Amino acid sequence: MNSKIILSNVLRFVLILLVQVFILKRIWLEVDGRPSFQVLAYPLFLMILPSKMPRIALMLLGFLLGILIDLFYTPMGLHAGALVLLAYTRPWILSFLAPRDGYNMNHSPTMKRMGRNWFLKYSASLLLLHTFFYFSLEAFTFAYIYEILWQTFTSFAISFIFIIIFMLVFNPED
Amino acid sequence: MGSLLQLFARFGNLLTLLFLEGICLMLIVQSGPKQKDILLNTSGLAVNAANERISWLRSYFSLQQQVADLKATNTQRHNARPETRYDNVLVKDTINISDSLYSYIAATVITRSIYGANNTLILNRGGAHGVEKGMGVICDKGIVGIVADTSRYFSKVISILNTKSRVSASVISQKTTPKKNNDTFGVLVWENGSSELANLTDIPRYHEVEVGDTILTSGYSFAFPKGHPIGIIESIPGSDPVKTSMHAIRVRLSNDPIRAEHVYIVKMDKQKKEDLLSIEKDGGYEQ
Repeated sequence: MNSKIILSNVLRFVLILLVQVFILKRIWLEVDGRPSFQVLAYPLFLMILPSKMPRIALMLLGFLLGILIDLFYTPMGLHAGALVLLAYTRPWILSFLAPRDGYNMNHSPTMKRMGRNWFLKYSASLLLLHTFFYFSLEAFTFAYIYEILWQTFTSFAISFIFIIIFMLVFNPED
Repeated sequence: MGSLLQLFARFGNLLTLLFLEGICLMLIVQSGPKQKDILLNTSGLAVNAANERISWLRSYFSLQQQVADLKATNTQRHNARPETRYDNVLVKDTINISDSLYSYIAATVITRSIYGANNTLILNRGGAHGVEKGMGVICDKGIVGIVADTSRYFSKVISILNTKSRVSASVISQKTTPKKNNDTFGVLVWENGSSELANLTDIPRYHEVEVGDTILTSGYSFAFPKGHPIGIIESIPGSDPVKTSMHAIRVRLSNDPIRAEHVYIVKMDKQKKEDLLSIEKDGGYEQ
């Protein structure tokens, strides 16, 4: 991993953190007297970390980003918990969606490297997992499964739009 | 040692996952249901200061509405001043009986959670301004919550939109007939759901209540003065599924606790509070 990749990931970490806690946190819509979704675009950082990154490093980075975001939300640990779970499942999703001739281990799974269709599938599955983890952890029990699924679905739809916009605007290579 | 390293090489990923998730779950449990004040202790002043700045910026967008609200409140306050009234009070004693029982500390909400079942707010007033645990928080149109914890410059409030919140409330019926008691009181609770509706429990079935009746604070606690508006009865679905001798009552809150921006912390006069506590402790009936 050369220094350029490290630098761009560090910048992305800071940028995503700031955008999430100062802008996206404040977007919500009231349906039936109750806020119905949250915009959770920060999993994008974990999605486009380099392919060869080991699981432990993914989980530690996810934990760090999650805890920093959690400082701005009241129940501590929710974002970190969901992100660590997501980091643990990322290698599985990557191997599940592996192209026929495998990945180039020096690249990152970005839209520019892997193509638009592949990236849409990949980011959608990770984001869906993340929103589901997040709202399950928030409810702390599956007794509210319908509310969990409803919030998962709405938040996923909104967050996905933001992730795609970020990818189209910046379109990073690694 | 060697076998330990071998173990880590094999299960390292899983162990890291379990370790990190353990930390997260511990944090969630501590700052969630137990209301332990992790946020105030860990995020510290820097984050709160940033939030305060953002909140300050945001308040510009609702400025017009707030000015109108404040003007209305000011008018009411001015009308309530003794100077504006004809004084017909007879002075019977040298003891001044009209000094205030409650005073108010104005505060601004700087951050809040509004999505979950256990919502909290952070206010920009703390121990340095005289805020203490257990004080009530109101806004002009209704009640907001109860102070759960304070740091030097900030305080954390359990919103009434929190499944742990319990507020003593009384029902004032529209028509006062001999059969209807005006002094009925129950407990206002909230269950995860709409932010506009709460439940009133512990009103016995033999008390007649009807849709449209007003709900006010009862004054049976130190947190809220008597007679501050809470809401009106939205519907009476029937009897309480658990306590069948009680009504199940849905209350439409008169304020919007999610959007409350400028709030007042209710501070009961310390001397009178101690006085009241001492008479309660003595029991009154015993000698």
